[in-house]
Amino acid sequence: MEHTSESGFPIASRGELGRAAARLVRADPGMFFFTIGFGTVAAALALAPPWLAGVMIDKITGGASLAEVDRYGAALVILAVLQLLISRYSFLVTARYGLRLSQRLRRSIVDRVLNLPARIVDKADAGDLMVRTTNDTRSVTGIFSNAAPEMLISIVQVVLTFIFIAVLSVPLAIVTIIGMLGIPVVTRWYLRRAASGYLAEADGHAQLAESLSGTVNGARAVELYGLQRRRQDDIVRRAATARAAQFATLRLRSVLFPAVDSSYAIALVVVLLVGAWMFQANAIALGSLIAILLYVRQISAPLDVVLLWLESLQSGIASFARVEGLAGSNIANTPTSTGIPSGSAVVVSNVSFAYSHGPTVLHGIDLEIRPGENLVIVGASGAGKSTLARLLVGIEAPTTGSITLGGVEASALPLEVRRSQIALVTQEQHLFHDTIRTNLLLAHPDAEDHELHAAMSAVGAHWLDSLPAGLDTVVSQDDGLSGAHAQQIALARVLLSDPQTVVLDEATSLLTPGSASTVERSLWSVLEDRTVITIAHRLATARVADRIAVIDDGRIRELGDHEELLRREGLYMRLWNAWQGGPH
Amino acid sequence: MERRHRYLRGPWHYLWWLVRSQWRRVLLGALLGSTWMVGLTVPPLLLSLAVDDGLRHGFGAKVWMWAGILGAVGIGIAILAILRHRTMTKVRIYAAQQTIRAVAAQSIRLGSSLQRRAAAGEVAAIGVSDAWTMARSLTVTGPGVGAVVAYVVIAAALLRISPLLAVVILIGAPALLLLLGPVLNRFRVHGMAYREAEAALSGRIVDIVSGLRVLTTLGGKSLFAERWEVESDLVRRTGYRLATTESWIRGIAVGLPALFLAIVMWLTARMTVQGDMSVGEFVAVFGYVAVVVVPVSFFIEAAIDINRALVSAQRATQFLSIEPRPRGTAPVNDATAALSDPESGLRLEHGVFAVVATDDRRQAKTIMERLAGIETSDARWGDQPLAEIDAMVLRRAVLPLDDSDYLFAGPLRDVVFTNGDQGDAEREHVAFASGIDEMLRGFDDGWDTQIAERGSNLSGGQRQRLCLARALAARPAVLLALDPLSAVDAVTESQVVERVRDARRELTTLVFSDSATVLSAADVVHLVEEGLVVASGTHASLTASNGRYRTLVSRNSSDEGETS
Repeated sequence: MEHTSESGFPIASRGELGRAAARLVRADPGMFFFTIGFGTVAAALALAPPWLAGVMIDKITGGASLAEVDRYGAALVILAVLQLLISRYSFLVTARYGLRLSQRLRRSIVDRVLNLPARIVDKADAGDLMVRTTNDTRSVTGIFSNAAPEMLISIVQVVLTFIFIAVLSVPLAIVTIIGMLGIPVVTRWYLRRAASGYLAEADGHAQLAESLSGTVNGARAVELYGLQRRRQDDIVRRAATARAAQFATLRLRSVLFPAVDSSYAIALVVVLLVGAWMFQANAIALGSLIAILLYVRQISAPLDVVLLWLESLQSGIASFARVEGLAGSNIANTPTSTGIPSGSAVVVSNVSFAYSHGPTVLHGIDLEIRPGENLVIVGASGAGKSTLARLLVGIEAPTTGSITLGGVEASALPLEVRRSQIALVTQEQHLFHDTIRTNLLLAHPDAEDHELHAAMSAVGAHWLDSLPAGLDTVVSQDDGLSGAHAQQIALARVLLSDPQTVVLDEATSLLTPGSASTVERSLWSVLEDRTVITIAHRLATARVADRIAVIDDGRIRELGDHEELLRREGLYMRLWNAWQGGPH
Repeated sequence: MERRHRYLRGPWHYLWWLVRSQWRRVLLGALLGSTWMVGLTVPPLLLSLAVDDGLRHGFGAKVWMWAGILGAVGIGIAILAILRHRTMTKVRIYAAQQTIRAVAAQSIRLGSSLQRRAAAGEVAAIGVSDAWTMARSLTVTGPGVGAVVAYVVIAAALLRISPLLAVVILIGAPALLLLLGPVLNRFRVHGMAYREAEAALSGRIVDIVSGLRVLTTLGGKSLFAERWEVESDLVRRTGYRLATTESWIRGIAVGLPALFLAIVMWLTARMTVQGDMSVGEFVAVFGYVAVVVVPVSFFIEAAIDINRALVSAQRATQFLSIEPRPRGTAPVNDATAALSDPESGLRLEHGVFAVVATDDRRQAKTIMERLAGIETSDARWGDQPLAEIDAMVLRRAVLPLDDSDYLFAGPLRDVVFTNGDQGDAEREHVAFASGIDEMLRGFDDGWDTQIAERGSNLSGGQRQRLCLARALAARPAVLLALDPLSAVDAVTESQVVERVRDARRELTTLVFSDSATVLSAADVVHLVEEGLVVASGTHASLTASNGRYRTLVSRNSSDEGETS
């Protein structure tokens, strides 16, 4: 890994890219050569007419008979029909090859994403990962199924055309190449600027799209807060920026296209002059010269295709490097412990924690959580409650001190083991755009429907029975389930995965307070012999917990049950009074 | 509905509107496109003259002359080509942006009625992809027109050489298009299936990446890997079908002109042998027919593009034709009168801090929308129906606050002060009242901190207080707030409620909540059950007199059933 993007995901080096491309080709080698073979035949057939035109001219000037001309004419017609069929087949074979390559690439991408280590998943810049798995992947598969076939066929055509010219006359082939020397020069100039230009163009598009999508999604807020003018201005401004970026790439093309087109014209003129001189010197037949002139004219079409796709290919390669870079993240896996947890005691000893480059969030936390205990952690927003939760489930490792689950360091436990030990449910749990069943089954793939129903009713999700499609209802962001329902599904999911310890971090915050405390208590009874650690700003649950830990400014200030802490007349009492709506 | 714009009458009208709006540029494009494409026929002619008039008489001044003209014309065509490309690129950019602007303007016009009338995702897609699909189809106005002109010119040129050849060409091209018709239709259908499968797959990966944390902590990776495999295979299979159809189009696009060329060459060669044509003319014919490929491929592309554009235009006109709910035009008669909602029996007196006690959020939201005049109802301000009041005026006066309301990206100062920055004192005041002062201290850039779209870089509690700050900064005469502090801790909640109360002295505020902290701060409390006000009073009086109120409030703060 030579480079790393800002988000921390690596970008594959050239060598790795080459190996990855070779792997993809090797997986389907027959088709690779089949594709090239067909492309060559199709391209060769396209070159037949000028050749035969040249031959016919020579025959005609040599005084050929009608019958002879008819033979050539018939050959031309047959070749054209062949060209139609073989071009068609060549495209089909190539496109299908591209589609299969894309499928293989997609498979490896998903494998990689699904196998990213937990710590990386949690810290990763979701945006970057998203871009790599969507836009970058689409750009690479687009290259495989569109650009690659067309380019391949066109390159073969260009090469074959030069070969045909060379067969007719080597000097004129050299002259043609000299006449077109301007093309590589201007193309290099163009490609050097194109990458950033088209990137800016894409960014302009994205910015405009984002602003539009904000305006559409926030139409209500636009009305409520009188933001009409501001949104309008924003759209107009971003449209102008997007336009400027598009005009910038247009300027690049305004240099490339005329330069290339002029090169074709120059090459034609040079070949005509040199050819005329050779014809005069009897060094070439008229028919051959005409065939060459027709070839020089014909070469522009495939060459244009190649030039047009070069830019996509360039950005496709950059995308490929980012996609392949995901493979590198697997190497950076967290060292795992081989110890097997015994029991389910959670022991936090002298833990301090600071996010990298951040201030210390937790200071010297000591806490021993007994198996089967119901512990509630309370404290003001920003006191460090959620950070403690992340440490408990091993997403983060403490800066100093240790956290053990059944005697083994939490952050070093292999994922599968940790999963059966402890699970965290947070305020915003992702629900997959799939059926409720799938969303539940992922935690316990072999669960029967009655188990799913049981889990749902344990979290008070009785609305499930009123859904016409029941468990097959598709969870969707647009219509459908409220945040409260989503939290219930997330809770039911954890019940099904049945870990030794469950950490609920504001997991019921979107339920109405009444149902929240009902759900929490119902969870406690279902998880009777399990440890439940609840983080809540609503204190309803605290009252009936075994113990309450009050966190303030990253330290545990008070620890005890409800009555005990009230008697202390400290922080907890103040929270409780505020919660009760008592004296302020 | 009464005064529908002409361009909204149908997809063709819409596309025509895009053309008409920049008719000068489109005309220029058509002119350049035609000149360019007709220009393409000149080099074959010159080449034939170079052969007949130059080459055959040896290497001399004539050859030099024809070569010079050939070079000059070639460069001239290159210049025409880029002028055409520049013009058409601009036509496309402006056309796409015209649709984007129209979609934005319509969204702004619909405001709060958009949600109910259209799916936001689909609307955004009109601006993101449909706009460009339609823009691309405008290419037909430049090179498309040029193709027709060039076609006629080539036929005319051939007519000069041989009427037979001209007829072959003139009949051949329409035959070609007729032949392609059904294939193009299949191509469109398969293309749609392929794009749909691809979109579903890309939705799946977005879903997997967003839920990666769940999959790593709870499991289920193999389940999703399987789903992915199935959907990825569907993309391949629909792609296979598309490739089958597309390969015929490609084959025909290459093969038929070649067949043309073969037939024409055959006929030409016979004529040359019979002495009806010179060798140079033979070369010219070859060149002309080779040029025919260009218009033909433009025809094919144009047919595909227009097909797609019509589907997009259909979607665009559908959305753009939606009419917002009719609104009144009257000013507010008496801003000190009480707001009332007959349906629930709720009455909100001027200048009070009232709380509706309910734990049914949906009911609360319905009542709020009625009082804010967002939902059509019989709600009144004094004796004036809300439906009669001008929408803009009403919005300045009555503001409903719901934390699902969208937060736009931008610096914190712009996010909060939607009417423009009001100076240091006002900023401090709003920050203090909404409780964002604490989080402001945590931001290195203070008021310049960039807030992401939807406030996605903030925590739930921060987002909620930010929404509150924005509502307070708007200073509406009446603020209706739906459980605005449900995501913050009890101490902060009680602090902020007090501050909001202070900040909105003299103004009217109605909060929907079942939190004892909020209820105890109220001047007046209305207990709402099943969407109806069943009791009103103060927190203390209701607690003392109403058992159901006690249950509602205490269920929230402690548990009656299990303790004491």
